[in-house]
Amino acid sequence: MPVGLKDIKTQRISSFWWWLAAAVITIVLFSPLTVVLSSFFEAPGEGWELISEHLLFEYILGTLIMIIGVGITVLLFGVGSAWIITVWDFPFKRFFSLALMLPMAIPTYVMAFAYSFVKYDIRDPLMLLIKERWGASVMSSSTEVFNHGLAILVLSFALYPYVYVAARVGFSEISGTYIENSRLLGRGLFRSVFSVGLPLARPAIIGGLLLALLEVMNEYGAMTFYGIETLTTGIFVSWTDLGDKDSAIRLAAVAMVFVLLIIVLERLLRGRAKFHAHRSSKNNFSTPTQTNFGSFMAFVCCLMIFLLSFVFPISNLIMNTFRGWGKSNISSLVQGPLVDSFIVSSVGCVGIVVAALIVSYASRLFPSFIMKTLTKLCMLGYAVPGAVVAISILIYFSGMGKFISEYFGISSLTSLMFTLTPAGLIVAYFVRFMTPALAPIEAGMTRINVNMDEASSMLGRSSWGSFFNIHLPLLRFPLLGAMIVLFVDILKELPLTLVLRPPNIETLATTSYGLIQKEERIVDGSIPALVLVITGTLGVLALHLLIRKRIVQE
Amino acid sequence: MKTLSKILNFVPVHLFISLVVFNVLPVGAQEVTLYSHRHYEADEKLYEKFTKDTGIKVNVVKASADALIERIKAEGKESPADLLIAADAGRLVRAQDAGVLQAATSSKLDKQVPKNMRDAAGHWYGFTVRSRVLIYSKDRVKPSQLSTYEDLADPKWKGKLLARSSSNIYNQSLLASIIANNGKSGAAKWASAVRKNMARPPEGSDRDQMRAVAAGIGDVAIANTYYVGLLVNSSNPKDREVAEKVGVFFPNQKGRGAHINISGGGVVKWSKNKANAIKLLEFLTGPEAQSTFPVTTYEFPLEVSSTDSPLLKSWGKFKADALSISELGTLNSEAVKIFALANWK
Repeated sequence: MPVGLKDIKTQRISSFWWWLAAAVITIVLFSPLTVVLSSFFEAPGEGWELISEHLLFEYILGTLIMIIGVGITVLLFGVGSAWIITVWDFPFKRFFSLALMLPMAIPTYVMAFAYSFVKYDIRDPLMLLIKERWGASVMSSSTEVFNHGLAILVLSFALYPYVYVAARVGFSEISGTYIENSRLLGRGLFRSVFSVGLPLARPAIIGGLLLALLEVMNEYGAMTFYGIETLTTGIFVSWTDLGDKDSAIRLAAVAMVFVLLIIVLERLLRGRAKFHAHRSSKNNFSTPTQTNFGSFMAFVCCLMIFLLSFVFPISNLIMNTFRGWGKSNISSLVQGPLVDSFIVSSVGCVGIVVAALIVSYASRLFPSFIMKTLTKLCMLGYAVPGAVVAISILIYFSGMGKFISEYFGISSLTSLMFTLTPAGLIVAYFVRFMTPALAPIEAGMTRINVNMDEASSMLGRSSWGSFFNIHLPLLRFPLLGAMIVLFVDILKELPLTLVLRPPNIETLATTSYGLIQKEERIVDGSIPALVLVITGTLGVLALHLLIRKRIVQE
Repeated sequence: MKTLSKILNFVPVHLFISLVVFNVLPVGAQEVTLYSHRHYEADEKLYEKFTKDTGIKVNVVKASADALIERIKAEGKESPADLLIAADAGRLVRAQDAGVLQAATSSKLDKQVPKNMRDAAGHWYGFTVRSRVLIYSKDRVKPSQLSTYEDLADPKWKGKLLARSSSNIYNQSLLASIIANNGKSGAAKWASAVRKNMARPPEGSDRDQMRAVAAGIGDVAIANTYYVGLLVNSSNPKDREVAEKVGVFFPNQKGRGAHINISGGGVVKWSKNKANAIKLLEFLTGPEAQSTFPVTTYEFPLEVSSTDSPLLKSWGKFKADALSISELGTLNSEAVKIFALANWK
C-alpha cells in the first residue's frame, strides 16, 4: 500500500517537534545576546563620542590586520600541511598527521607566554641596533610592526589546528579518483590543491577558518601583551576604563556586525553550489607520490610546524614543572581545579552537542528562512567577546530572576544559577560554543545527500525514524569530533569562567592563568597549565583516532 | 537509539553530581564571601590565618573588579558577596558610585586606617599602599637628573621614557593626581608630552617596562614599587638581573610627594555577613596582616614608614602625596579622556 494521507500527517507532526525544540533552543541561546544588540537602539553612553572620534578607526584597523594576517597564516599552515599529508608519502607521515593537531590543546595565553622570550631576547636587541642606526622614532615604529608579526605568528601556532583538522576531514572525503583525474589531465599535486582539493573541501575548510578567526576576534590576553588594539581590547577600554558599559556593548555589537559580514560573505561566495562528496569504490587517494626531494621537503615543513607550535611550548612547561616539583601541592590541584574542570567541561560538551544536533537536523527538515536565521543567530555567541557574553548572561538571567520573584514569589533563580551551582556558567558555555558544535555537525549534514532523506521518507519513515536510522549513524564521527573539540575548548575557556563561576570554584585554566599571566609565577602556574595541556592532548588524540577510524571504515 | 539514551542519561546525572560537589557550604556555618580583584596567593594564606583565628570560613571569587561590580549589580540582593576587594581606589569609588557598597564603620577600622586612605562614610578602607615611582637605569641615569613627574614632559627625555598602556588603572590614578595638582589643561599637556617622549608605544606590564630599561630600550620607566620587589625575589635569574640594573626614585620629594594608591575593600550593600566582613577588614588592616604584606607582596603597609622589610627600607624613606585617595576615583574618567586624546593607548 502506498503511503496514506494519515501517515503524511503524522510525519508532519513528528517533524514539527524538531522545529519546536530547535526554535526553543536557538531562542533561549540567542536571547541573552539581545542585551548586546539592543545597544544600537539606545542612546550611546557618554564615552561613545570619544571612542567613535578617536579610537574606533584604530580598533577596526587593528582587528582587520590581525584577522587577515592570522587568516593567511593559518590557511598556509593548516591547509598546506593537510594537503601534503593527504597526497604525499614521506617519513613519519602517520606521526605528523596526528602531531599537527596537538597544538589545539594549548591555550593562546600559554602559547604567548612560551614565546615571550622573543620579545626580550630577540626583539629588544634587534630594536637596540635599529635605535643606534636610525634613532628612537624608527625603533618605535619597528617595534609596532614586529609586535604585530609576532602576535600573528603566535596566534597562528595556537589556531591553525582548527583549519588543519577541518581540511583533513574535507580532503579525506574527496574521492581519490578526482585527484587522479586531475593528475591525468596534467596537473601536478600542488596545482591540484587549487583545482580539486580546495574547491571540494571548501565548506569544511571555511568552517575551520571561521572558528580560528572568531578566536582571533575574541583574543584579549595576547593582544594586550603585544600592545595591539582591536575591537575586543576596545571593549575592555570602554567598559573598564571609561566605565561606560553601554559603549562597550556597542563596540561588541560592531564586532558582531563584522562577524556577520564574514559569514554572509562566505555564503555569497559559495552561492548555490552544493558539496556532496561523491563516493566511488576507490575512495582514498591510493598511491601517494614519493620523490626524494619532495619527501624531504614535506618532512621538514611538517617538522618545523610541529616543533614551533607544540614541542617548544610544551617543553617550556615541562621544564618549569620540574623546577617547581616538590614545592607544589598536587593533591589540592587534583581535588580542586582538575575535578571542577572535568565536571563543567563534560556537562558542557555533551549538552551542547545534543542541542546542536537538534538545531541542525531541524534546519535540514525545514530549510526555511526563519530556521536558517535562527541557526545563524545562536551562532553569534561565538562572535562576542567572552566577557560581554558573561555580562549579558548575568543581566538577562538575573532580570528573569527578579521577574520570577516578583510575580511568583520564588526568589532563588539567580543564586541557583550563579552561587549554588555552575548552571549559569554552563548556560554561558552553550551561548558561547554553539558555533564549534554546529559547524562540524552542519558540515556532516550537508554531506548526507538529500536524496537519502527523500528515499527514507518515501519508504515510510518518520523524521524521527530517519534521524535515528540514517542521520545519527552517519553523523557519529562529526558528533564525537564536536564533543572532543568542545571538551578541549571549555577546558581552556577563561573569560566566562572567571566572571560566572560560583565562589571557590577554580578550573585548570583560571588557576594557571592567574599564576602565569597575572602573578608571573611561572613555576607554580606551569603545573596546572601542563595538566590542562595534557588533558587537552588526550582529547585531541581521541579526535585523531576517530578521524582515522573513519578513513579506514570508509 | 541506545547510544542517544545513554547520552541523555549522562546529562542529568552529571548535573546532579555537580550540584552535590559544588554545594559544599555547610548551612549556618560562619562565613564571609569575597569578590576579589587581588590575585595573590599570599592573600589566601592570610585568609587561612583569619579562619584559624575566628572560625569564619572565607569564600573567594577572583575576577577583575569591573566584572565583579557588574556581577554584584546583576545579582542584587541575592548576591552572596560580603566584601568587594579592589587593587585601586579608582575602582572602589566606582563601586561606591554604582551603589553596590554600604557604609560600615568600626572604631578599630577608624584607628587602623589613616583618614586619607578610606572613604569618609566608611564605604571602603585601604589595607595596603603602593607608590607609582620612576624606575631608572643605574648605568645611564643619575638620580640627580630626576626630579618630578612633571619633569618627564621635558624634551630632554625624548625617546627615553617607558610606560604601560593607559588602560591600566595605575596610570589613570597617577594622571588623576596630576589633574588634581596641575589642573585639566596642565595634565593634558603633560600626558601628550610624555607620550611623545616614549621610546616605544605602550605595551606589556610594569615589569616589562623595567625589563626594557635594563635592556637599554629606554632610560626611565613609570612603575609601581612592589613590582621591583617581585623582580628582586623572582625565581627567574634574568628577572633578578633586571632588578640589579634599575634604581627606584621617589619623585616630587620637594613638593607634594610621590603618588600613592591603595588596595582596599568595602562591604557589599546586600551582605548577609556584615559583621564578618568588618572583622576581615579589621584583620587585613591589623598588625599581623600589615607586617605580612611587605614581605609577601612587597606592598607598603598603611603606615608607610613603619616597615621592617629590608627591601622596602633600602628604597629609602619617602614623602607620600597627602591627596585624599578618593580624589583619584573622582577624577578617573577625566584622566581616561585625557589619555585617549593624548594618543597614549
